[in-house]
Amino acid sequence: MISIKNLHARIEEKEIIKGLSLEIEAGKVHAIMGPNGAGKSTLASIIAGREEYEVTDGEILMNGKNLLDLEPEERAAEGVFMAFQYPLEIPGVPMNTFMRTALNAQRKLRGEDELDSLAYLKKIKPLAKTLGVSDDMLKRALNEGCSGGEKKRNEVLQMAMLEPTFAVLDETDSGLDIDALRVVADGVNALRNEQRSFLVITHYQRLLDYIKPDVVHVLADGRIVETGGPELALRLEEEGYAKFVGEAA
Amino acid sequence: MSNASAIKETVYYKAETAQIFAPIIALAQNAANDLPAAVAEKQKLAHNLFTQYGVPYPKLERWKYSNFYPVLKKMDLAPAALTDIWHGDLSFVKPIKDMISEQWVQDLLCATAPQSDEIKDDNAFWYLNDLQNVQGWVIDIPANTSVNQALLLKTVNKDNTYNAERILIRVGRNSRLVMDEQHQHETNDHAYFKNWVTQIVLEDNAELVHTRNQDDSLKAAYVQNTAVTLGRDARYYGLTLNKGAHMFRNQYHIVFEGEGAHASVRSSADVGADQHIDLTTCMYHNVKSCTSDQIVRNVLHDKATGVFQGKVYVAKGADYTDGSQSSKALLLSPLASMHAKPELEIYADEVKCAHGATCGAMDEKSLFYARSRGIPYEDARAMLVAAFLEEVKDGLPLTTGE
Repeated sequence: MISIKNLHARIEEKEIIKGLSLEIEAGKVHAIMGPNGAGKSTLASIIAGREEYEVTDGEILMNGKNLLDLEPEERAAEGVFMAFQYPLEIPGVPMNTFMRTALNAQRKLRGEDELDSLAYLKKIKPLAKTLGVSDDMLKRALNEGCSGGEKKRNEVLQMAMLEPTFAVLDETDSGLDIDALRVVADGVNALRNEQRSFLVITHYQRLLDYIKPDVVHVLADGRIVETGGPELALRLEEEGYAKFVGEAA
Repeated sequence: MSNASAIKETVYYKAETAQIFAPIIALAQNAANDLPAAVAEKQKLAHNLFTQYGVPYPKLERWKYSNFYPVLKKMDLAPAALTDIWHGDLSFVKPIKDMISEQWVQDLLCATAPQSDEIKDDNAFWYLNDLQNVQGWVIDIPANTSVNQALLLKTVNKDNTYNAERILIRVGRNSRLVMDEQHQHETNDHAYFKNWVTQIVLEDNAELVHTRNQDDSLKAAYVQNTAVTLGRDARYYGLTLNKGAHMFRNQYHIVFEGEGAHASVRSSADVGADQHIDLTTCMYHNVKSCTSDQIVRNVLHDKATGVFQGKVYVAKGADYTDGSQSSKALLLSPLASMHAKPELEIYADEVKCAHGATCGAMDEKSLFYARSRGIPYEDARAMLVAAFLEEVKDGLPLTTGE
């Protein structure tokens, strides 16, 4: 279970998260929706451990540990994974090299044996095939020259390889056409199980047609302002966020 | 600066040069005997020019960033014999003295230093090398010969030595050679000065892959002049990987003489402390349809300095020239510095010349991306640095026997 308690955070002098609390049970998919500037991506960045945000209060508990006390790489080894809204291009580092380094770094931090290249390839090949990531892409520099869709598929492939217990998807639907969206959603759905929790952050309801959430939250002005079932997402699609933007202001 | 004080400064530097190099000059002059008249004459001329101009000083445009005086003054230099060890097919490698009767060898030894038509002061290190221009090696690859095994040169210098070395390479028509230089050191306390001149002649459709692993002592000074002439469709690939040396001036003069030729000059440095790595190039596109690229990647820690002065000259009529330059530096300390100065001198009409220079810190976003996947900070940083440096190898035919 992941438990976010009374989280406050700011960047420079501007407070962005203003007392956010959230509990995600094991095996559940929670969606966070909200207007632009509500703090959705900030929340994702804070969970993953990006340093430019200053957390002024609150905690994020997972496996009894406060994630905020851990370095980003330690969080990853604990089972946190963030799929980036804008995955980075890393020139000169092939996807295979990056992935194997990451996988083995996590295994090492957890005190497990490292995977040799044969075991690694055995693991990645079928997953890559399912997600339509070609051998050529695995050998190429990570995300370099890739389309938006290819980058997002790469993110889901990394998630499948790293097998996190808590996956945060930051606007994974942005920049995807409907076919690409389906491939990515199928990839995510294949990873759903009783131990793994998801936090799906999105501006649009569309993604949630493909990744069906158990719980939907509305984030506005740095707080959760409403929580409901999947029907809440549909209502938001119809009514828009105007009501919440007004309330918060 | 007034003319009078400029003259005063020149006089000062000349005196300094004389002091540093007096014993070396004296010995070099005594050693010269039974040489062909032209070579002996050349040495005399070089002596006059060197004493006239002295070691280049920072007031000279192309030496602004690299001042060798403070480094050389601290050394107590004595001339040293060569310490080179060669590996590979040694039938292609001969001492210059054994080849001195050959006309092409004499022609190279007597060749004018590359920039002498412009500014004579720039070439003092070349003149200094000329004093001992028969100390070194001739590598002669006949036509239609592909040398499968790379020629490997290992060189290690001792403390307080001056090492002048000349290497003459001729790769015949349709031939190919891979040459790898390993510049090594015994300990980082050894202060020495290497002043090398390498002259390379690539005949039509010849190819030379020329790599240099520079791992000299952190107290060493090293000046390398490499002059290349390329015949029709010839290809030169020069790669220097810098790790060592206190001060290194790596200078290329590349002259295209035949159409369709290509030259690459690549240099990477991963240096710290007070190391100073200078790459200065001149690409002379004198004929049509030649291509050149220059890629420089410097990772600078501590108080390290990088210099890239890259000149592309395109003569009138040298149309369809494609010359590019790219210099990127990663500054990993607030005291590190990089000077990048591209120079384009273009007299032809149909020309493609691109240049770009960037300087910056490590990309924090990429670093975070790697860390968010579980790669610890130091490893993530090392991975990104290694990838950055690898870019100098892009597109080079580095494997042999292809």
